[in-house]
Amino acid sequence: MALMPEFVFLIRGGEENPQDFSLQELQVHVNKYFAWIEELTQAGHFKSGQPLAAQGKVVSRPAKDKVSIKDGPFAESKEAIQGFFLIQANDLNQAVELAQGCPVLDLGGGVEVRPIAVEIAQGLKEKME
Amino acid sequence: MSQNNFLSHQTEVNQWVDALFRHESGKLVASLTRFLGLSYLELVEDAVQEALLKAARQWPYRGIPEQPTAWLWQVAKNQAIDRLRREKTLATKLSQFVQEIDQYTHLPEPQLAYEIQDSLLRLIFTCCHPILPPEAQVALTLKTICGFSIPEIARAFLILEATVAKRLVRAKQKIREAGLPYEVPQGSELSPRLETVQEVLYLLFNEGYSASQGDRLIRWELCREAIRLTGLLVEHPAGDTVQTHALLALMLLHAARLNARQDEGGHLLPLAEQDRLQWDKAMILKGLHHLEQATTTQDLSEYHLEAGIAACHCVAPHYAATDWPGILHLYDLLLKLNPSPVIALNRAVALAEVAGAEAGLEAIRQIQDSATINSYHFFYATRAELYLKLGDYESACHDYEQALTLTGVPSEKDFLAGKLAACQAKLAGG
Repeated sequence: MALMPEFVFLIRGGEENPQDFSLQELQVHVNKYFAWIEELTQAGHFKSGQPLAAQGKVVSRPAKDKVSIKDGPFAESKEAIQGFFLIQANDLNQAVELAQGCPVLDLGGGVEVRPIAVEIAQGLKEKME
Repeated sequence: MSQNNFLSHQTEVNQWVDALFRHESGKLVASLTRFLGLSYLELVEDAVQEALLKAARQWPYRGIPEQPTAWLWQVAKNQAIDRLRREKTLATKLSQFVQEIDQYTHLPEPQLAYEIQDSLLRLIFTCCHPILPPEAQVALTLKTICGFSIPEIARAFLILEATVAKRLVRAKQKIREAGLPYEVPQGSELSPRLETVQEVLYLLFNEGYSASQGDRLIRWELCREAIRLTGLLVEHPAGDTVQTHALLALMLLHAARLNARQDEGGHLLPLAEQDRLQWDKAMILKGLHHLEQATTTQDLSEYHLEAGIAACHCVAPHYAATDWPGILHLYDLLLKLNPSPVIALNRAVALAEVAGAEAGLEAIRQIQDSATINSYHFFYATRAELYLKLGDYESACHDYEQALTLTGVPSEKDFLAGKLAACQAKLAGG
């Protein structure tokens, strides 16, 4: 059986002022997510998901012998990644269609749909077998 | 924590998740306040809000944790600790809090459930403390126990958000300054305090039920919350009195009929035209059960009588089968306990059913000079109905017009305008 292509949905932004939400509105939002995931799960698309914490560091090497470590206030940025989902779909078109159900869109956020490089993954799998 | 989590929990969770955040919020605030005291109410509320925000950010990705309540408790507790840690002056408070709360977390499940319920009762008695004015009691109850936001409270009562915010700040300040203990009152103190709590819950229910103004969904939510809190009260030894049972009965017996009160277009339906199949039978049975519990002693309160009247309506299979003499008798008793013109008006309706429209009108004449009643649209609508029955279309038209000027609710305006038009047609047709 051919492996079904996998995609990562990177969930961006959409949470500019969550503290302005009433608990009822938060609840409605979370329930929308659950309904969406439930749908994906029933149809065999959902594999897993993880939220990302707001804190973290950015490590870079601006000069040859210098390492820079900066605090990242990730949650504040409008473009910040809030979390990701691992999704199975037939192809990119279908994945994009599935992403359109993501409730983050209702809050002005976006979903970045990225195929996992299948060739490599399959190659590795064959090797392991 | 992958797809299985969603599959196994989802169906079960969907049934109670609708108000999970709001209800858990009240429980968490109540429990944490027990350890920190009422002077830290603000800090506790912030910590709980943050915990729920975290849940809203994380649960969508991983599904609801196996024990959502424990998860929220853990996070809220840590948030409170973080907040205490930020203040150097609170070091003693912090270490004491950490020690005490640890024992609490390890209580066995049934005991923990009891402690949470007990904490909620303490919070209810605090929010309904007589040092606070009634409107502050209601606002604080909704905010702190029911997890309503300030805009939601403002929408429910058609007041400015700033007004709600001010009420809450003042109420909390008053609680701090008075140094109120966080407890369920005992002994001779209990009975008058319980009465205040019952009054606040009654007010909360009525605000939702009477639907005079404001957002309909939110108002229905007020009814549900009033029923929930009264249910909590009646299950606690301190609140388990015949009056509380009667109060709960009256709420259930009214709420059971809410669904049938409007047609699909949102138009109000009078009792006679309601589809009784739409009444919530399970809720009626529950209400009758509590009414029975309420009559185990000789005590008779207004709640008993109002519940009794609601019960008469609920058990009538159709309008014509309503026990009007029974209802009239209950109104007579009610009027003795509380000689209010609004009750007298309702009694006149029952009287008209028993002894005819003329008798009803005569009873209304006796109260029509009262200042509270003649600015009340229901007074004119009721009188118009009786004039209509007697064929006095001119007087009826006049009263419908008067009623129309006194209500701002669209569904009521529609209803009255329809009645007025029908009445005018009769008048024109001779």
